[in-house]
Amino acid sequence: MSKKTFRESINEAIKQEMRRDENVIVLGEDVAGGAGTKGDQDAWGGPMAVTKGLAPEFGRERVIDTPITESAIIGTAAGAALTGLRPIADLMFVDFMGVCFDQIFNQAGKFRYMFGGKAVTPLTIRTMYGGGLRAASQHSQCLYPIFTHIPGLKVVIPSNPYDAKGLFVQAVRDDDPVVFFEHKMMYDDEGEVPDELYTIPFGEANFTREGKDVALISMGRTVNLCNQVADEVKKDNISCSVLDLRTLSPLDEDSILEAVDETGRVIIVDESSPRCNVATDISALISDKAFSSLKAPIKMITPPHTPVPFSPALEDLYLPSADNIKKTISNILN
Amino acid sequence: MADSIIPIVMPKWGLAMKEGSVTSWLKNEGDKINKGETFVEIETEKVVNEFESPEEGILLKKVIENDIKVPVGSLIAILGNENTDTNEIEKFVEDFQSNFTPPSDDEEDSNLEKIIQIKNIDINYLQLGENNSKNIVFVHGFGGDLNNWMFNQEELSSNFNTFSLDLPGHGKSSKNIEQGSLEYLSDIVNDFCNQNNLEKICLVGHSLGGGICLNIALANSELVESLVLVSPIGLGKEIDNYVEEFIKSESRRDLKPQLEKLYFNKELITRDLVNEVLKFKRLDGVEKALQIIKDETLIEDNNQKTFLGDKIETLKSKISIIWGENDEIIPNSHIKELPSNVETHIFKESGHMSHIEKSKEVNEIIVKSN
Repeated sequence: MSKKTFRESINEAIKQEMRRDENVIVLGEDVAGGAGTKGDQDAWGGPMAVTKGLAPEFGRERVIDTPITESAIIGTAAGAALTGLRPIADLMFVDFMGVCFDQIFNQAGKFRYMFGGKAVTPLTIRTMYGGGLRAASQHSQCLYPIFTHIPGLKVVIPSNPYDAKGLFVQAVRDDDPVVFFEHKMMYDDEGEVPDELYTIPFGEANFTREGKDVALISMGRTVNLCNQVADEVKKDNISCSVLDLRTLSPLDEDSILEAVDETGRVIIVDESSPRCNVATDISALISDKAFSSLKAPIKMITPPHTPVPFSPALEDLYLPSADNIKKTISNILN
Repeated sequence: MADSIIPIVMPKWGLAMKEGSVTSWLKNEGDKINKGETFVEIETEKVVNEFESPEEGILLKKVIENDIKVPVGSLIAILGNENTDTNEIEKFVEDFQSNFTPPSDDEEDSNLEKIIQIKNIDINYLQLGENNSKNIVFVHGFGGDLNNWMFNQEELSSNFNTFSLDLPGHGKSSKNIEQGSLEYLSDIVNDFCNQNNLEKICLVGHSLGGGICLNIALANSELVESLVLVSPIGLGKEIDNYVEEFIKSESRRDLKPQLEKLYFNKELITRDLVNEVLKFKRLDGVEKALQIIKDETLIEDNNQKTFLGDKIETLKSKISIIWGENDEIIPNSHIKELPSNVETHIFKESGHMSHIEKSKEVNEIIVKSN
């Protein structure tokens, strides 16, 4: 056990799985960098250096730099998965899903169903989401609700380094296509991570704070915002539980209902755009199955329904904030 | 008369504890508290326990609110005498808070844990206390680790050299084990004592660890001067299906009711505690290691596989056996038909984990047995 960053814990998960199982391969744009040139053969290690060090250890046959064409990356990976490999494909920014979405949702996500259950597709797609990098509207979206909508895909969204490693290993070993969401502002977050391999099963949400007054339900980066708020409002004698969903598909409905039952007041914090997102979905689930437990209306904290602004001042206003969560807490308590 | 101001700070229970919170106060401000009396319940990541007052005095002030996590060493309450001036208390609290710096993360206490190689696997252990005349070795139960002794080892280390180890397949010891028989596990503990040049030890074992300790003492009375066993295996046939269910439980929801069987006070099983156990269970190799130990030592046809009860009479070491009256894993009837060389203790309001739920009493028995 030692302190590792989010970046290091995913890097370690990939490395250890590649050592354990020779069928695991990595492919994507600049996952190593420098292919076909005379320069540094591991120049990039991915845009955020998450796959750094893999090419020197495992060679170019298993760590494949691809052309800049997402449809080829995902198409190749889906085919490789169908024929027995366990590819980890790097889609880089999730904003680029548009050019390869057919391969994801209508091919990889459907193989098991279209081939009478005889085909499995152990494909892991890594992708970055979220605002905060001042990268404007084409490189800052969340988009995980779109993947969550598709039966046949599994959607994973860790909030801390420990979960990132365990969920990643589970994704690699899973026989279905998994889309693994990494928030681009989280790579330097630190936490205790075991050196050994371990897995965290999909469909088990995690209470990161215990509380009786209000339940904050969230996923990915905003879980940490909720943790921060829960710690701060304790000084005012308000006790908030925080439920980290960890995976959006499968979704741990039981833990959501448990959180509602324990508090009667729910705030869902979701960085994705507000129409048809995870917050609306969970809100509907709660009003359907736990309406009688509610002491106050369900609140959703999301960005406004606009593209992510490029202006830093506007982007800060756009994203869910601690202040916003605190105000909502005091509103539903009064 | 007690001093006018006695600060009470967040205790450190076990090496991993960095912060804790008050779950409930058993005394009100103005109540008199005796030395050694429990007056507040404290929750750590691993367990909730009652905290005993280190001094006598009146509870003058509760400094922290319930359920707020504070670092180890933080001021939680003020004791004193009835004449203490309120302003003096306020000033003391203020001074304390402004001078207090929480222990930094860099002070890695877990560095005190060490790894040694025994029979080609890594065994993690913790030594506390040295240069005392007597040695105690603690051996935990199935699915546990050396942290199970957090209320015993540190406390006893002021007068004893204490060692606790993680069994093969457990804690931070190797998970890739090939065998899990009672002989193999006993050899590991025996070799551990030899490698640390320990002689005439007191062996303290819980459940599976209790069976291991008894087995070692039967074979090697030179090494083991005294034995203290808490709800050990090997004294009867009956055992709950906990072992199988513990191995099988993959989710928080499945594991929680299993862990609740361990304690009389079910409220000790918080989500945090379940998560800690799941972190261990989800490591690669753990499930297989537990399965091997279960098959080779613990269970056969839904009963205990190991029986040592008939040999206790021949035992040369001094032996005390402790049971919780409410033990749901191994029934306390196993303590009732033992030969006369065994000193027995049954604790009320205690389950399978008496060394945690009745730590003070268990520690006294360990001290007496030496």
